[in-house]
Amino acid sequence: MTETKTSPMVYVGPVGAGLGFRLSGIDVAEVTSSDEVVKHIKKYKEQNKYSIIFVDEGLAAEVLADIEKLNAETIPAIVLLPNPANPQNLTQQTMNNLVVQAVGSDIFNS
Amino acid sequence: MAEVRVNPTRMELLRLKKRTQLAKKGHKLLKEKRDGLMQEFLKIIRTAQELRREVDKELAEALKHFVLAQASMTPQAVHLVSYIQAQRASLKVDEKNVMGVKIPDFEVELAETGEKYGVWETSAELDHGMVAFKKVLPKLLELAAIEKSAQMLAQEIEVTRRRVNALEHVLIPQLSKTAKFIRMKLEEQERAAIVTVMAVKAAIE
Repeated sequence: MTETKTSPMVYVGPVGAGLGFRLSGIDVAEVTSSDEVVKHIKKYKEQNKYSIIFVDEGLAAEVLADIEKLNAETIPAIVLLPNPANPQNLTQQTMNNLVVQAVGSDIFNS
Repeated sequence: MAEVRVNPTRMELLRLKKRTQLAKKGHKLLKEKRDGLMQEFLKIIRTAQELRREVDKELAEALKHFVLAQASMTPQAVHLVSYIQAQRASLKVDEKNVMGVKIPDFEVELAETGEKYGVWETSAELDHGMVAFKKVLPKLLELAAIEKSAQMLAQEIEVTRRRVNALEHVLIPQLSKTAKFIRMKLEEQERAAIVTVMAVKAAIE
């Protein structure tokens, strides 16, 4: 039951941060607020065009709950990316949350 | 009193016994599934955490190069460069099935488009950034797949654990309690019948 398809990726981040992604052939959506991030992700999900959506963690921090809700299905995969200008350590934190969800306690950091 | 309202009959008792047996069998299977998933999850999460740390570090480095490049170039040059697609990334998406959990499998294909940016207007940082980015991209995709797998497994483990607990602590005790209630009631009826017979016999004699 494997289904292979080819699809592009997209990066949702602050204005000016997407240069590297664009040069590498990844679509870039520039946003200015966290609400816009959620709006964009919802739109992409409806379009069913992208398989991976990269999101800047600085913008995702405020709407993390919404993003997690949108990330419940297998495809698209929403991946938080670090922002060197505004480090939040969210990426590691979400990983720890997964451990807590599955095991019941954070067995790696306690 | 039993929590489930039932007719205290032998038929009902047999039915309950069958249900308890089924529930116990399901409980055992689900417990095994939970343990299997947990094993898989722990294996994945360790790799994921390591990969996450690596990617975070390398990506931050690459992005820094781009920020520096943008700072040292003229706005026009940055604008121009942003229209260039040096390579095209296309993603092959596959879905694997691990113990009933759908796990994505990404494979990236990078194709050079032949578009190049000029040497004069751009800074050397841009080249450094491109090199660093090219290196981190496959890892990033691996991370996307592995993180998603960990997430899907975590969800499934949570659901399975709830089911196991519901069977263990709610359904199975309830069923056995009801079965006990029926057994007691039937025995009581038997005793009542014997007593009646004895009373009738005494009355006749």
